Order: sequence, then structure tokens, then C-alpha cells
Amino acid sequence: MEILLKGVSFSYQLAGQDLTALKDIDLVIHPGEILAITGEGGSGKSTLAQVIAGLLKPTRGQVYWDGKPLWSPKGKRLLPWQGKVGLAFQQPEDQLFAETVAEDVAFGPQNLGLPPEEVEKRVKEALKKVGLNEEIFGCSPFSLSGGQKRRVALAGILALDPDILILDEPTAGLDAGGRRQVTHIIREFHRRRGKTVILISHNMAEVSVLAQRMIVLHKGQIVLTGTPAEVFARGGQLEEWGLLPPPLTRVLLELNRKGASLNLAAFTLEEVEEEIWSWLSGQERCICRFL
Amino acid sequence: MLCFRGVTFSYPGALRPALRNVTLTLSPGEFVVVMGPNGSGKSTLTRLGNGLLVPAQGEVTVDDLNTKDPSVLPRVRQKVGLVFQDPDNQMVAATVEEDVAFGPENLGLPPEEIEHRVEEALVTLGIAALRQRPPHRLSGGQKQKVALAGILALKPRYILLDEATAMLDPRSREEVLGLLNFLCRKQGIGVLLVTHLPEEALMADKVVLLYEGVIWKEGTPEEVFSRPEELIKRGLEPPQTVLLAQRLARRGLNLPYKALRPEELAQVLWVLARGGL
Repeated sequence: MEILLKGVSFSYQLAGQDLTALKDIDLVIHPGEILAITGEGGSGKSTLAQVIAGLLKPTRGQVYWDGKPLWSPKGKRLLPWQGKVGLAFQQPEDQLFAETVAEDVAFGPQNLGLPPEEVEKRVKEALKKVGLNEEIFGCSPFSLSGGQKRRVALAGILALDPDILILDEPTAGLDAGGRRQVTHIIREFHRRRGKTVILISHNMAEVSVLAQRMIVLHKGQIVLTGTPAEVFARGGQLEEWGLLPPPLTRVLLELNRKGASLNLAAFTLEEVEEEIWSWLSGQERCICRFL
Repeated sequence: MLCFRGVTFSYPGALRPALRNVTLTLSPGEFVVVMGPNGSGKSTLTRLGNGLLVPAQGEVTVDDLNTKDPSVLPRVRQKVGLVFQDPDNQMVAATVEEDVAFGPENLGLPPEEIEHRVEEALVTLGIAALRQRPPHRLSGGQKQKVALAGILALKPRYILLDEATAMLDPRSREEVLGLLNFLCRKQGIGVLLVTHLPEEALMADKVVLLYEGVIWKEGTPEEVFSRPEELIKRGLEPPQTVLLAQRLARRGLNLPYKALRPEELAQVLWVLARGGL
């Protein structure tokens, strides 16, 4: 499913005042891509996620799903949800509510009106995809560890079999193992089903290993779009937009500030190592020339 | 000193202890980072540290006050502040000022003293301009600063933070860490920071690694991160800059110290490029 945002703006009403969260957003999300949306706190990322998912109606502009407008001029929703877009909010485990894990994951498919056999099948498949074994199906979600709860919440979204998966800060608060598991789940979901994944995160290092394209939001506007390499190449500007580039990019940035000319598009450990070693080897007085 | 001596603690109905025979100290002016995978006992450690929980075996003492003695718990909690992960769970008042005043009011301090402490805490944390704002309207980073201010107003000797930066964006996280560093180095407060984020461990004097309730490694950041494969096996990962420094060292580069923050590593590399060190 392709999603198009055209001239989208969104304002919240707070105590009688307009608070602009998004301003004139034009965005195409292509079927099957992994897109990362990043920006500092308050830049509009979560609002954008909810507009894309059809949960918030733009104050101005329009959202199109596969070319069809989502909202009528009078603000009525024109397209049914039907589980097409799965959105996991930040800390989705805060939304767990059922008595057992299986019941929680079944909630979404049940609300799609699916027959019981199909619901059961989807619950088992979804929990398997997130690496949870059958022993915990009957457990209370609240008895699980934080990482397990996160995976149950994700399973609840995967059980909807959405065309588009939107994850808001999917790895926030997880330990290294939990982050790896969630990254693996996302990667597999995309690889096996070829579906669209949108990652909302201020952790650029983490989403860059998954994303094919990144968008940078600043004060509600898209200020930069490109591949992760292209985005990190603008490291200095990322700081102006309130973002903290990944640690390795910051090493390169700091060296460039001192007078080096390193390629900021290098962002993996291997690439940065090579970039720095090549630079050091070219420095006349550096001992590494003789190694 | 805040001391854990041979501490073992189990939650009712749990299959194994959350902490087993843990011995650890935190001195005033010391910055300790505690890391470990989910379920390793990190949060339990912080709650034992300020007397919210009491050990089944061993003891926790705060400047010679034993947390097993209920009569000293108010003094323990004045000395040991605890900041949790979700700042929304810690806001109790209608304005920032009132929230920061909550703790000193509960100590029964006179109004002038409360006012003075609140002002000092707000100024120290750079949030005096927010004093009349409702806490729920603040950003995550601002809320954590308010939580810290509320603790500072009690004039603690130690501050324990249970993944207090986990939900913050990187900029807010850097600000909060900078403040913690200031409180530790300049005001002599002992800071114990529980975190999943390896970069945060680089500012510590001591890093403690927990696994299944047991301390399996303890030392300086350089010592603790020297063998990345050991950490990965136990659900942890070293900072990216440490991995980079180790790779460059394997090529023969003589890096005097490998546990550096990005800007520090850049400085060392720059000096090396100039033939220094």
C-alpha cells in the first residue's frame, strides 16, 4: 500500500491555543520500504505517525492510501481501518490489558471479525514470530519481563497482518538483547512479507541499520530526507536541528572540526575504522604510517 | 558510604533470587554505573539502596544507618534519592515549584528553608523558568530534571537513578547526564546510574555488571569493556567508540586509553595524527 501526504499540517488545541505540530508535510511512503522518521523531542514524529495511520485528521492537507483520500472535506473518515496499518505507540507494553498473553494478542484479530480458528492461528504465528514459546501463552502479561511484554505488544500488532507497520521508539528502554530481538523481528517481518515498515526514533544509530530511507523532522517540518549515509553526511546540521548524531559520526565530526576531511557518510563500525585509518596513514607525522 | 554487604533478595513466589550475595559500595563524589540485561537485578538494587526493599540476607547501610531498622528509614530516604525511569510516575503536584517542595515539606522544614531549597534546586538544574508550569506539560527531559530537583531539595548524599534516561531523546539525555556529572564532581554527591546504554558508562568511575542477580564484573570502564565477547554473551554491548578504539589498536595504533567518549577519542586521534602521545 502506498501512502501519500500532501500539504499536511496538524495543530493541537491546548487551552484555547493552537500548537502546531506538523507544517506542510509532503511525503510519499512506498510499498515495501523501511522508512525511519527521526527528530528531536517535540519535532512532530509521533504526531506524523498518527496522521499516517489515520488516527489523527490533518488540520490542513490530505492523506491518501493507495491513491484514495482518507478524509472527506467535512472531516469524515472515508476509508475503513481494517487492520491495514498497525501502530505500536511508545512503550506498547503499557497497552497490555488482558488476563493472558494469548487473549491480549487475540484482541486485534477478534475486532477484525475474523473466525475463531483464524484468530487462534494468527495468535500462535505472531507469538512465534516474536520468539515467545507456548509456555507463556496462558500467563498474565503483567508477570513478564519488560522485554517480553514489549514482544507481546508487538505480537498483538503483527497478528493484525497489517500492510504497514509503524513502530514508535520500538527499542526504547530495552536492554541490548531486547534491542537485538526487536530489530530481528522488524527485519524478518519486512523480509518475509515485503511489507512497509516505518520506524519513529530519535536513536539514529539504531534505525540506520534497518532503514533504507530516513527523514529528519525539525519543528514539524521535513528538513532532510535521504539514505542513512546521506543523512549522517550532514552531521553538523543534525546538531543544529537538535539531534545527536551516532557516536561514531560524532568522532568523524569532531575530527573534521579540527581540520580533517573525513567522509561523514561512513557510519558503520567497519566504514569508520577504514576512514580513520586511511586518514591517519596519510598524516606525515603519524606513527601508523610505519606500522 | 552506601554499602551493600552480602545482599540477597527474593520476590515472593519468584523461582530464583533477584540479587545474590551482592557486595557493592558507593562513596560521596563517586559515579557508579550499573548495567545488566533485563531481569539481572538492577532495579532491585536501587530499591534496596534507599530502603524501599529490605534484604533477606546481608545488609544495606547508608552512612551507618541500617535499612533493616524501620525507625531510620526517613533519614535513609533523605540521604538517598531515587529517580525512576518514567518521570510521569513521579510528578505529584500542580506546578513544578510545588512538586520540588513536596519532599522538604514532608521533612517538616520551616517555610523559609523550603523556599530556599526549592530555589537552589531549580537554579542548579537550570529549570527556574519552569517553576509555575504544570509538570505534565513538560518534555521528558524537563520532567526528569524536575524529579532530580525534588531530590536535590532534600540535600541527599547519594542519588540512585533507575534507567532514568531510557525514555529521553539523546539531547535531553546528554543534559541530564551532564547535570549528574556536575552534582557528583562539584557537589560531592554519590551517583549510581542504572542504564542499558553503554555510552553512559564511559563517564563512570566504576562500572558494575550484573547477570542473573550476581555481580560478574566490576572495574573501570576500560577494564569492564576490554572483552566485548564476554559482554555480548551476557546480553550487553560495549560502547561503539570502545569497539572502534579496540579495532584501531589491533592495527597497531598505540591508544593509551580505549574507553573514551566520541569527542575524547577524536582528540586522542588528532594528537596521534600530529605525532603526539
